[in-house]
Amino acid sequence: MIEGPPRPYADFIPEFLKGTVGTWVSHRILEPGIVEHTSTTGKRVYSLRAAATPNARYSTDTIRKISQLARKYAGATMRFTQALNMEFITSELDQTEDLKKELELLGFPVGGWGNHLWSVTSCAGYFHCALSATDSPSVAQKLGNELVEYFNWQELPAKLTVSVSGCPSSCGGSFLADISVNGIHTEVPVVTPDVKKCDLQGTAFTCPVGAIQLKPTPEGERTLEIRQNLCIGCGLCVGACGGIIFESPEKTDGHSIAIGGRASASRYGTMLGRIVIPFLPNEPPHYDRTVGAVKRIVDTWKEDAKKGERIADWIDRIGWEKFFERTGFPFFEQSMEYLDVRGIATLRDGSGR
Amino acid sequence: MSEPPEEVRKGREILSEVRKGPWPNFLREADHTRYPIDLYGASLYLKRDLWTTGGYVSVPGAPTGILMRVTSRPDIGESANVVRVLLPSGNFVTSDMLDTLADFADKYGVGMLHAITTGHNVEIPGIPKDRIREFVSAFKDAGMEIGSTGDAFRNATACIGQVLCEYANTDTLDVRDKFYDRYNDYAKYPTFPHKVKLKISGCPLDCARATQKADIGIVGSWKDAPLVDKEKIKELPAESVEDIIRSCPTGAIRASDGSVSISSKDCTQCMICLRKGNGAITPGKRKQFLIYVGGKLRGKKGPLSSKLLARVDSIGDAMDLMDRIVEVFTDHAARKERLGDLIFRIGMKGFLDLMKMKPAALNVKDLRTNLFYAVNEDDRQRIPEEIGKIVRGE
Repeated sequence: MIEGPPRPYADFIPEFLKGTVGTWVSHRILEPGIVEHTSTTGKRVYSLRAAATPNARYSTDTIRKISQLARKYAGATMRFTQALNMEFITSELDQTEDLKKELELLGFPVGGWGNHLWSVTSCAGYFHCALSATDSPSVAQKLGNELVEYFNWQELPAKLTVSVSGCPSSCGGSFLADISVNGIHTEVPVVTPDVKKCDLQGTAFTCPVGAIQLKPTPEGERTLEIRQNLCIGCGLCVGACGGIIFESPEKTDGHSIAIGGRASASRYGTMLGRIVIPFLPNEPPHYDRTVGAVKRIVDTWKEDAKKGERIADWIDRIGWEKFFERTGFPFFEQSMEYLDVRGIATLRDGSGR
Repeated sequence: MSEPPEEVRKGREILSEVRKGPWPNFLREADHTRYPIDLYGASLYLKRDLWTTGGYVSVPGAPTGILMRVTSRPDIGESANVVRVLLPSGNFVTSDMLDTLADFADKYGVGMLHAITTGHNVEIPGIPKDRIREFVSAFKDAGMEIGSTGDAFRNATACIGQVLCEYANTDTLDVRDKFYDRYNDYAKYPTFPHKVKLKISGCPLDCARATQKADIGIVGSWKDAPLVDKEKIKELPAESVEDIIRSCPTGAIRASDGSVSISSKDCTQCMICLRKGNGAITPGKRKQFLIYVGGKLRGKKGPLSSKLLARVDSIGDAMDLMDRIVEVFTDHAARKERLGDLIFRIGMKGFLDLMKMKPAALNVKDLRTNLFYAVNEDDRQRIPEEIGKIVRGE
């Protein structure tokens, strides 16, 4: 048996794709979620994309049904896309239509691609993660419910991706999404007596702004001290050491909304999301303010942008002043860049030096 | 049976709201599993995370691939361990493989699959501590592999590449297979200062996010101009040919007797004409690969974009360069410092010095604007000399 992931990939792709690797010349979007690929050999295949649940959790029942559908229509194999959606590749168009019907019966709408909503993704959040400041799956669920019309029906100016992360680690990949919601901690963590069990030096080193100091206790032991005025609430020390905790996350945790991320190595390259709303509280289950703000951004963009302009391009054209004017959101100083402890501007692209 | 605590009851009310709506619902899925749903409901009501830090563990036969999750409320939900499964390249999963995964999730886990994570693994949650070793050996016998945790090469991901895409400059899935042939030990045993992620994109549109979410990114590209299919471009309507010519950001495309010609001197491989050309314009023949370093979202300095390190001619050269990057990273990064943080700390020039590479214009996004710089004796000699040569036309 070979070590590492199953290889070679040729053993896992559908039979009808094996002879055509590298021969593709063009593709055409037939309808939201269905694309026709044409090869120089004259062969045509169709890929179909269905939405995933926000944090991509499935019961084994559903997985077995998906596996059956893949056997029936898609050469007994399927794939997961970059944005966690499900993709099936079929060799006949009428099979694709049947597959679409069956998937929609299962509760997975088919859509995306082109000028539509492509994906709503989230990290684990409270569902399975220890560090989250906001419950990303339920936020993403709500956003998905609200934006579903753009997934397979209504057209947008350009591609739209939405992503929700539970904490500043951005495991949901959020800073690259057009609209992203990121959980943030806003309080300074507290050092408890349990800190003794941790690697003190290592924990102090995790602090990006040098706010954690080693300090002797009256008993002659060592403990950590967090300097209130320097802490930026990133939560890295809380992740590194169980003895440092956030005392009242129910009051202080929340999320920020960033827009205008995109990934590309061409032209002006990758853009990270920029924070337009610095803080909103956790309000499960409806998250009225968060969902309302995202909808407002989408509506304004839809009305204002030229065809083909992603949110990043739209902002690039109109500038931030006009953005705040048109959405009606107030501008908060917390959206501005800040200087870190050494006086180095922490710019988005890391070009601080 | 005693009455459940208040947070569970209130939590259930919130959960019933979350279950609603047309979007595929993770809670409706979780209802068919043995996942501790009350724990999740209670955490929504209390607005605090009820899992606590667990970290990664190694067991014999599986140095990477197992994550611990510890509950802080054992009375309403049990601790659960998660295993991370490596998928074949391109995240292709056969039906048999899906069935196997479902069987394992039913037998050892809570009957739930996380397919897929944002790092493109499959996770099987809810495996009790005492059954992990049994799981690992049974799983290996079924021909599957776990991994991608800890300070090792995390799961390498690739876009679909030449298997289905006309823009791809290389067979990205084969590149990923070759990567694992060569580096599997580094992927299996955690030996680095921090995790290293590799992503491979077939073209500069970068569907695999190689320029941002990866410590090391490989992006397929080409030199000179894209190829133009003279027959096909004649089939396009006149407006769309005009649109192609107009939308070139460097004005490299010119009309020439019914077709177009693209100047290789001006082309920046931005992909705009390829996207508009609908098969009439395809990537150039002479390939090159862009190597990006230092992208990340997580960790000390927050999200950082990656920087272009070099352009190489083949995937073999790219792998050789990767050897060197990993060597420099292992030697010079502090503990728990990502490659991006190292480059942020020592600067791109410092990193290039460690790599023993000569800094070039391709390494920078923008130039220095601060006038203060320690120009030394050598620089005072060399810079005017070189500029003088150019000015005098030597």
